[in-house]
Amino acid sequence: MSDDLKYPGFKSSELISGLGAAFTKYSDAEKQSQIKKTNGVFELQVSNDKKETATWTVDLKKAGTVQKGSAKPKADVTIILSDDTLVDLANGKINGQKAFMTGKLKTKGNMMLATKLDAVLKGAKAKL
Amino acid sequence: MSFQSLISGSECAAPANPLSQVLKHTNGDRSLQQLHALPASSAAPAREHDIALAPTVSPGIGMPIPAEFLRIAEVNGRPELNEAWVMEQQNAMRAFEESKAQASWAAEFGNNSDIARINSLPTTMQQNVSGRGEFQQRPNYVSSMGMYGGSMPMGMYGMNNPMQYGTGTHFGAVDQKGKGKSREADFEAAFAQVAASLTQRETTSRIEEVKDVVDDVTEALKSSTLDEPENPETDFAKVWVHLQQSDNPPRQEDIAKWEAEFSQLMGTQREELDNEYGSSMQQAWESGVGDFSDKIFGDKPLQFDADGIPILGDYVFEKNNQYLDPSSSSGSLLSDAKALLEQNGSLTEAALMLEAAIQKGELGKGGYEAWILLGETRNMDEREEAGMKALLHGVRKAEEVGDAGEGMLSLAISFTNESYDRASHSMLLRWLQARFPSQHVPEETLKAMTTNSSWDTHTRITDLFLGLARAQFAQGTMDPDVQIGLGVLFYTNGEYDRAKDCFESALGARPTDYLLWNRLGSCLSNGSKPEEALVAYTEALKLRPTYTRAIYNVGVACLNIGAYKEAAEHFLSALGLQESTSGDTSEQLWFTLRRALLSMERGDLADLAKPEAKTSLDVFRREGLDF
Repeated sequence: MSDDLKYPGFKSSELISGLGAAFTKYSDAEKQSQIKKTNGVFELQVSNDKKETATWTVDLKKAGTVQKGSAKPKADVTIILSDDTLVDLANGKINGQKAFMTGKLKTKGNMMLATKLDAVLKGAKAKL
Repeated sequence: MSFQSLISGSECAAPANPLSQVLKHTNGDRSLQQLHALPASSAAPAREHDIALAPTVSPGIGMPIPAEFLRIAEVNGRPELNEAWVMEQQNAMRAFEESKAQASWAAEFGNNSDIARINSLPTTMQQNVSGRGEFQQRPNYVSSMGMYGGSMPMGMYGMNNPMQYGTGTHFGAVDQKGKGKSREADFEAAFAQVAASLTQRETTSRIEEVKDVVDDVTEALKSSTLDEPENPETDFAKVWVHLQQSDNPPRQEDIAKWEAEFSQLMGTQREELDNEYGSSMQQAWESGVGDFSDKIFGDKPLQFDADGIPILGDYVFEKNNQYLDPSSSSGSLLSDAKALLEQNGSLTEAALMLEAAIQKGELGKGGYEAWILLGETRNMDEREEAGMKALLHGVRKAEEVGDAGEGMLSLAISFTNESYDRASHSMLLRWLQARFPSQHVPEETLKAMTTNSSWDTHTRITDLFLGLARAQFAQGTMDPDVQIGLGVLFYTNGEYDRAKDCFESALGARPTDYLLWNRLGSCLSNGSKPEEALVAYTEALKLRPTYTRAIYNVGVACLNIGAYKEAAEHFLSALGLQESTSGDTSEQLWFTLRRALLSMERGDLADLAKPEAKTSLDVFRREGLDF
């Protein structure tokens, strides 16, 4: 099932498919909690070195799933970035805001939502 | 990306120039030009091209300048990332909300292009030169140009195509209102090219100079040969320069007419702008974080008040609380609880005592003390939701009785943990005002708390705290709480290194404050330094071995290192601590345990690790997890 999410030639495929897998394993309560916190549909347009583009939709509004392809009907925010940037984001090497400011990340739509992407991608976050 | 051009190299100067020119003229309407700052993708080349073509840009029609534009201009003049960022975001939000307006303008021009024919343009231009009667046409020209001028920046920044295509339609619009004679195709082509370069500069030209432009365009047309389409710019440059230097005031009545039409047009646009922005910001905030039916906060979508503070339900007390039994203890539950905490006793138990105390009416100092202590205890015990509710209650109570400031830092931290950034900022601001009433908070900042985005409020509040910290430093003092506040601000914004520095300073003054050690640890952990984080957490646990949250954090750090088994073991030990007293266990712990188990590829155990399942922890022990 998670193989469906992979695009060959993209480093972030692993990441996204892992995310998708995690989502399916979430309990309902956990999903609800994530959805409540995020409440949005993200569309990720990732481009790699070969100038190919992969599109994933992360639905954290209704269903709590990760899918290939564009959002239907429409994503709340579309995030355009490179393969490397996405990998860095997930690893915590760069945070969403920094990526945006340096132009590594572009958004269309509700950009506030894009800031939540960090939280979604990151594994576990320590508590203050 | 347009923003990139602002921050890198020589292009820095380019945008600044035209804008600073604009600043010199104080009566230009810039409500539309605010839309300049769209951080869209394809914008950069178009923008720079435009800038290059428009060496000096004169302001628009006589309208008051929105203050924001001045700031944008200033900001763009100094490539100061953060502030510019803030402005861009605000404007981007505005622009985002204005996309509807954009669409309608674009649509309008779309319609026009279908109807109009460029070939009749030169005619109208010519005729404009010739007769006064043609001035009837001008206001229309002007208003379309005005609108076009407005849509221009957006055209530049969002959609390259509409700009080019808008060019045609722009003149098409004029034509529509004018006469419709036809012309030779060649002339039309040349004119179109010239017009293309012209409109790119029209962004902010004075209406007064429109007539000149038109005149000059026609002159240029007449003088330019049809066979040199490759250099429209040079001719144009001449025209443009001539334009800048010429200073013919147009006829009075026309100015008035144009201004009236234009201001009316701009007025309506502006109102829409303001209303939409305010309400859409509010909406974005409220819908941005969970206006979604959820079961967690009581079957109601999560609402926020004006300051971004979530409106939570009432605190839910534990059902089976042994301390509620009137015969169980004779002394003060509150002091018992405090004693227990002093002795590093079980956090869950202390919380139960406190709950009982509250329910029995023993609220402690000012009626808030027990609440705040309960909140803090709950948070330490990794039960954020309960902790937040208790703290909210306590903080409000404290404000009521005049002891504002108590518990606010803890509450702000709670908000940060749950990603309620704006709430965190608001709370920190309130704390600052309560604790340092003499510190001046600008009116603007106070207003901004309710309207602006969290990125903006973050900057403002951080500046306030920084100012305070620096003042203290200058006096040779250091208030750990101010450092904590600052640290929380940086942490909320993802600036973990700076946050770490703040907490380290605070620790200098309070080396045995386990909360601070935990916080330092989290800064390191989220800042991708899990090993160092573990050191800090260990210190925290040395000081308070029952600090559930710290144990949780250790587990998280292990997860991030990839030590899944150890992580699971830590979570289980934390759960064990909680279970050993009658209290309920923390969901957060269960969730993260599941993650660890999944990473260990023990899906079977993961399925067992659900709070509802109430699986005995021994099950896990039998599986070889040692805790």
